[in-house]
Amino acid sequence: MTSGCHISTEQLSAYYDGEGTPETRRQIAVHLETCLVCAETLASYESISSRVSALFTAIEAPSWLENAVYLSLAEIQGAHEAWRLKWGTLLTAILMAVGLVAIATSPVGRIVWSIIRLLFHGVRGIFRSLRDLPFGAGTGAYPVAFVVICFACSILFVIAGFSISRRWHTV
Amino acid sequence: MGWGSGLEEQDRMLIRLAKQGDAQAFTQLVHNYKQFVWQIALGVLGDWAEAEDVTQEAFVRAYRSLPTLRTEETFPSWLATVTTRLAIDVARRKKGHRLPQSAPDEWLEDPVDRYGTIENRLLLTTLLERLSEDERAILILRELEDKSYQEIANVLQIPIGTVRSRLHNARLALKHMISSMERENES
Repeated sequence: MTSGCHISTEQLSAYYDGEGTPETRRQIAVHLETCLVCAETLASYESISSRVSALFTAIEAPSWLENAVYLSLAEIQGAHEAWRLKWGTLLTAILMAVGLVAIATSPVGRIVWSIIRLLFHGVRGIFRSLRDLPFGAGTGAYPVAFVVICFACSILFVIAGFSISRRWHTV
Repeated sequence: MGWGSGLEEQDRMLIRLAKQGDAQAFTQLVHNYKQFVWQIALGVLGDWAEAEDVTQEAFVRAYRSLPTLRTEETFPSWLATVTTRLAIDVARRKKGHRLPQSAPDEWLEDPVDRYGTIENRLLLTTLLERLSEDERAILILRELEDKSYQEIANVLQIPIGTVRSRLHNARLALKHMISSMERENES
């Protein structure tokens, strides 16, 4: 409280900030008209405000700070993308595994599985015949299979050549 | 003089876009609000290096939590709250840390640079050194950001009466300090 008056410096501080009830503010305003000590205290608050404001307004943020913030944000985005990629891949793999199991156990899956097995055995047979050819010519069905495959391939080549030639002439 | 007094339409649009995940819009917000965040951080901490860290961290947190912001109008207050709380946390963790030790070397090399004159820097250093982190935060929010007592109380999560008394204490301390500095200069 300032000497010789009933208004405390804390009340004056709040008054300066525009706080307090309208009634209190009115009383302080009336008091300030006659009390020089309180008027001086109020002026000192004003001086402090302008000093602090001037001080901080003069201090500019470093120019590189903005780039540092962008780098931090880019790091976050990069980490987020990596996280998404990692979990996305894992989730896809799990879904694929579940889908394969579901297909394999369904009636359609069993048919598909049988076809795959047939194809697999066929391919394996062809592979074996090719492998045995240099060493086991004339020893079984493999050389025959090789000849059949070569024949089938040559037919395919002929058909393809014929098709290309027709298109060429059409153009 | 603070940012909280009114939001420009351009900022409102940027905040809306940034909330939807537009990184470019947030980049523009960083450009527009870096001074605002920097001033609060420096005001509370009084330490350049820590203020830089807090500014970065405040924007990173803001970027992460922006989708939770309810209205664009509250963005400056919300950003001020994030920054102030972060700065106070850092200040409490490093209590006893003295300002002159952390002031950059360029202070003495460049008499008038981006930090203002030497007198300004020394006054700022002395001024902040003698106040507690809470008093500094209250002073900055009041004097620079023009926040009401209620808003400051909300930011710092303290009673409004505490805001009033701490701000008064900070002003008294500054008043005495400035008077004694002036007396020293005269003699």
